[in-house]
Amino acid sequence: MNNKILLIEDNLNDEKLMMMALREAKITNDIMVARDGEEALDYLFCLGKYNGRNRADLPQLVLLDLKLPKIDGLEVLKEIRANPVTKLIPVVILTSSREESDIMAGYDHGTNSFVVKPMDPVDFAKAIERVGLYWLIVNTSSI
Amino acid sequence: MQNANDLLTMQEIVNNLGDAVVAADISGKIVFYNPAAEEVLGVTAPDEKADKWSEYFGAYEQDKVTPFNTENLPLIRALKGEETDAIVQFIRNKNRPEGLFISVTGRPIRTKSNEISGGVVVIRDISKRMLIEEQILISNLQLVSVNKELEAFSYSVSHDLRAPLRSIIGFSDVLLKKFSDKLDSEGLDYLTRVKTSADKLGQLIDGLLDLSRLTRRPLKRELVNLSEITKDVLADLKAQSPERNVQITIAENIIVDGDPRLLLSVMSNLIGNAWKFTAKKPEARIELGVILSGENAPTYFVKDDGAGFNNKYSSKLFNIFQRLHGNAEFDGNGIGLATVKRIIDRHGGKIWTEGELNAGATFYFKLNPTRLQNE
Repeated sequence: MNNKILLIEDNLNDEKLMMMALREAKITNDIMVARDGEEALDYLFCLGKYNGRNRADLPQLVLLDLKLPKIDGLEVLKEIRANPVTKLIPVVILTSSREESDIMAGYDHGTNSFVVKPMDPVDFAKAIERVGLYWLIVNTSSI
Repeated sequence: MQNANDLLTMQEIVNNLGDAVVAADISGKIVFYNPAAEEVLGVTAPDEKADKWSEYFGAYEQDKVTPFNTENLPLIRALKGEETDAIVQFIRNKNRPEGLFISVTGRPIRTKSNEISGGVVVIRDISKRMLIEEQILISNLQLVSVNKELEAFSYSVSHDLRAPLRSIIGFSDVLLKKFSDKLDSEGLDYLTRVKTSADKLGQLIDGLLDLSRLTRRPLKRELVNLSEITKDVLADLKAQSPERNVQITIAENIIVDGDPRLLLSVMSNLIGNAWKFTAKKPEARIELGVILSGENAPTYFVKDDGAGFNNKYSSKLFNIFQRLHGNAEFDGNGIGLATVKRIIDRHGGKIWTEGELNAGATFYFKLNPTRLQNE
């Protein structure tokens, strides 16, 4: 395990806001950004342009958006949980959606946490800070 | 019963039944065919052999096109000793060109020594019922498809509209906080307007999503103490503006049967409105009460002596985005009362209101299904 965060987010603005919030919270971990579900899986499983990457080098935390191009967030989560190498990585869904169906499906597929991105910038920064602090510092993970 | 024989013969009774009665002997010969049978089926008793009956009567399956297998006719099955209950068939023949649905119940006729000597069927015209059932089925299918569309719509609003809005709000906030020294007062004013409007839009979208969720979440009814919910709501409001001088009257222990989460939303909105629209009065009054009226379901009310409204707009108040006050006067998004009405509707109740400009408003509601009320 390295102490990288894998941020799977297709929206450049949300990515920027999230980066700002993480930096503001003094979270200095490296952040690898995947723009869609396919890239995220390629990264995790060392395929495509990530062929040759060390497979044992797992991120400490995956921040996962649900609505993604090519392969959607739930599918990514399913693949992560189905593979013995990646199944224990903490995954936090970070999404715009407050739909109950999304929340249920997220937990059904084994997310560790489900966070609705708040609309208010102060709340947004606070939510990102809390997620970061909890999963990177407070929580002891099994990988 | 013996005396009945003197007054009315069995034949007379059966001949005057509203339901059709048809009986056959074991050889398959029709031995009884009451007038209602001819009236319902449109044809006289068949002379044909039993294997031609389906064709003779014009009997079809419920799909109206597949000929009904004669072997399965309840009368034929009765002759074989089988009992059948409420078998539905469609009948269409030269005298019944439009066709009709019938329900047929058959029993074998047994001798004293328990041998089958024939069979009897009772036939009832159920076209009206089938028509209603068909209409309900179609309405249900339409409802399901409308619901699916709504769900898809709110799903897409939830995902796709909130994201760009968060960027507008988020980056205007960054500009205001970090770059305000680079803007003159005019620039700052414009930026603040952008931020305020985007905030407002965000609240509207969230309000709409909440409203649409309300219609889709299953109702979980239990006994709920409306008085206690109201006290909690008011305690929150008081904590937010402790300087307010409001005289509060709450009828104790108003117990209702409803969904606690949804009823909390009702009281938050109604009491919240009362609180908001009395804000400009140095001394205000808010009341939660109940009117009992004998066997009818009780009427609950929330009454205030605030800004009120012209009573001619009372029916419009529950429409979504309908507002009677400008934002400069009273803040609001026009979703609250639409939400309240949706919740009351889902409980099978009703809500109405009375107001007078500058003299306050009263919102009345009932929670029990209106069909149980003599109205």
